[in-house]
Amino acid sequence: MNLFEKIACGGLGEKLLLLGNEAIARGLIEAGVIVATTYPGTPSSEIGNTLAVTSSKYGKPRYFEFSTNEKVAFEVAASAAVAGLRSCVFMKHVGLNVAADPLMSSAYIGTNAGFTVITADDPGCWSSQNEQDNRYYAYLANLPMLEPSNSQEAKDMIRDAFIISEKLELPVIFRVTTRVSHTRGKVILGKIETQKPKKFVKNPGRYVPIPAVARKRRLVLIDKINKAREISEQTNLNRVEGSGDIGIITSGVSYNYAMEAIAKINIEASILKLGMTYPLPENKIKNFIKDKKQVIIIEELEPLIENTIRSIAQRNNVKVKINGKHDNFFPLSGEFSTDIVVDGIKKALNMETNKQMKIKQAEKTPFRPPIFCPGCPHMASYHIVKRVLSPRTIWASDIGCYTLAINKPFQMADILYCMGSSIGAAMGMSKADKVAVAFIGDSTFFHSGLPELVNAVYNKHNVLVVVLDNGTTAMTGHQPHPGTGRTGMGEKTKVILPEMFAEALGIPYEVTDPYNIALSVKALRRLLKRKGEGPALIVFRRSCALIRPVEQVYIINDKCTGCFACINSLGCPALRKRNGNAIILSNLCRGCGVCSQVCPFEAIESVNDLETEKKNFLNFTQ
Amino acid sequence: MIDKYDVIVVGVGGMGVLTSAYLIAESARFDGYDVKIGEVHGMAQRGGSVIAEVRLNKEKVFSPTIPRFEADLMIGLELTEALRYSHKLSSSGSAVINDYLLPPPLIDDYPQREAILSKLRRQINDLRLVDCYGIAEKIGARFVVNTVAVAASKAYSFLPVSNKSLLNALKSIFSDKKAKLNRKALELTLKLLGS
Repeated sequence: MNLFEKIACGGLGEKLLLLGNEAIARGLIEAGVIVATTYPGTPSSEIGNTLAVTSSKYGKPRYFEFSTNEKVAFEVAASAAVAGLRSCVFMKHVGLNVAADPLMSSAYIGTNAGFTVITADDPGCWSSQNEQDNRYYAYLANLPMLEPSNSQEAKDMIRDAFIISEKLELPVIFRVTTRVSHTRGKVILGKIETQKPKKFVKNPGRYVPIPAVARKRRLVLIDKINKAREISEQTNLNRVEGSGDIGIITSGVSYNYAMEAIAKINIEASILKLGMTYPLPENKIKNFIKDKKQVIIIEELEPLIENTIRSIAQRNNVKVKINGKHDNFFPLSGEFSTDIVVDGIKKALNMETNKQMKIKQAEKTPFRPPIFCPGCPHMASYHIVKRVLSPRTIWASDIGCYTLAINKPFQMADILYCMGSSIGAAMGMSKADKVAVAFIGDSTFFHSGLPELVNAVYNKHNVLVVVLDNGTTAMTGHQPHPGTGRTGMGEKTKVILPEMFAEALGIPYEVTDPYNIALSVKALRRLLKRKGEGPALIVFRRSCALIRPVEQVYIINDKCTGCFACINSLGCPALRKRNGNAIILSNLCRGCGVCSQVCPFEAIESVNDLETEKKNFLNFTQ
Repeated sequence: MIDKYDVIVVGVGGMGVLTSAYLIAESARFDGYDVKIGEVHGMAQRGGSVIAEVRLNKEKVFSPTIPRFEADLMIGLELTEALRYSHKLSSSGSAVINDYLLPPPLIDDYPQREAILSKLRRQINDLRLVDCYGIAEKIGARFVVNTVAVAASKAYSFLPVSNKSLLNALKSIFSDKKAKLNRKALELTLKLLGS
């Protein structure tokens, strides 16, 4: 049995070592979720990768889709829940910005069957453009929010989320962070429930929030969130552990650091662990803090719990010393660690912060940033565009592997906001008389590039749109998208290609294979000649190097002069300098042959026998 | 069973850092430890520097990451990365390092093997350099290099897990075909390096 099968079919009491995200997937299966939707985004990606397999192979959940973007995903899942099916939508934190519009209305409309909105936040920006704190969305929308601390809780609390959702007929926000999503830990499996669909009764006076309806539903929502507060008071998700006159209030992954820190400092402390973090249990908190000598609040990112607790203390006239981020004892940015929490607690308690503990310094090592993989077609595409266009061009980048063109040797990323922003940014730049090019990946194009392209045509923006089509959503782990002809459940479907839109919109376009440099340069030049006012579009189409088998490798022959044109124009990690010449690390080479086309001396040639691959394995220790 | 043991596994994206960490954690779980692995996904894996933190505790592991300077063992699949993270080891920490150097691309003045090794020797209490690729090539599958490194750390009696659990963990995490090759790698390494 592989892990996916165990997640789908494992029985009650079985123990598995699961990533937080895999545990969430199992939690959804145990809760009998029928419809699950997402747009892939790290740190949430493995939830979808797991459900894609469990739904297609084991029918759990019955329906799963990779939607074109988070807003679409949200609407599909939310409405399926209104129609009576337990449903879930999940995404990374910035994905909820895309879905924020339906989120706000869904709080007014409410739900029928249970509906859970999972957001995976990314403190420390491991794979994101910001570290926004999505707990604000619970406050903004007035929706109950749960936060697990580890894999076991990530699974178990999904069930709680659905129970609360159905009790209140409200969507529930389920917030995790990178260190919960990407920590593997022990999980004891529970029972898989089956959920009967609920009946849907048409009710425009509730489900269609025209102003007259919305005004009434706002009052209903306020009433519901008061009921949610009662749940928050009662639930064991908000509980006190340990004892002592120092009170620590914490939630999510920070709970782990707090537990380890108090053991390390060796203090007696009473912990209020909050699993339901909106609305907060006012009475429980009041009772917890009133007999404490001091209260320390430990939470990553914004001081949201802290602000509420300070307000609760003030309104209830509780005189207790409260410490947290407002005293600068804990940092506002980045993820926490046991060390950071130890330091913060010590500062709050006026303890000596380490009697000059010997700090070991990290050795100086060359930076190893994420790079294009060997044979990545994006390297060729960027090389081609760079060859044809002036270096003064403004390069508008987008979200995907190709953002890595910000690095050497390309340095072709001048501006970026979010998914799909490249075309919009190029349009704005072009207004300042800049020549602007938008680079956008295939999945990102379908996600939110489409309305931007329509705007470029409609408002006659003079931009070049470069679609880097590698036939997959590579960055997040090769999920299918509308261009792949395959659904999230592995079913065949219509192949939708970016150039179809250029055709329909009546703008000039070309489609070319970036592995053929000469033909692609010609295609781009031809397009630029045809391009009038308004946008033009070129598709560089070649599948991601990681999902293509290696059929040959390339080697450098004795014609190499050491000009390093190959390295300087492509930066392929398989190409290295060695004793004044270029070499190809055959254990990395994917056989794309692009370097052989940029070599001015015909010094790069292909070899077909796999024995060479073995011989030319290179270790720089020699 | 010891009270607690913290391992960092480091290397270059694509070498099998996460799988090694999984193998260690799964074996330790079979031996009755509570375990957690702090992983790094996404951007960090594109040929970049990768670290996974494996925590074993006979009671309960809380934090997914290891407090500073408290790692008991480093398994380094590549020399530059071993150097990058070596300061995370405790003063009594040990290391098993693959004798393999893959400098970051586009950098001309990268540290050479001897310079890296002398710095590592200064930092690390007990350092074992292993030609993991050499052993993997004897199996005929270079990709088992990560399992060779884990097996080496067991052969040198650093990793506090049983051989039986290591074998069971291989079965649990790999497909049949891969499990077979990794089992060969484990057994050969234990035979070659074991006392």
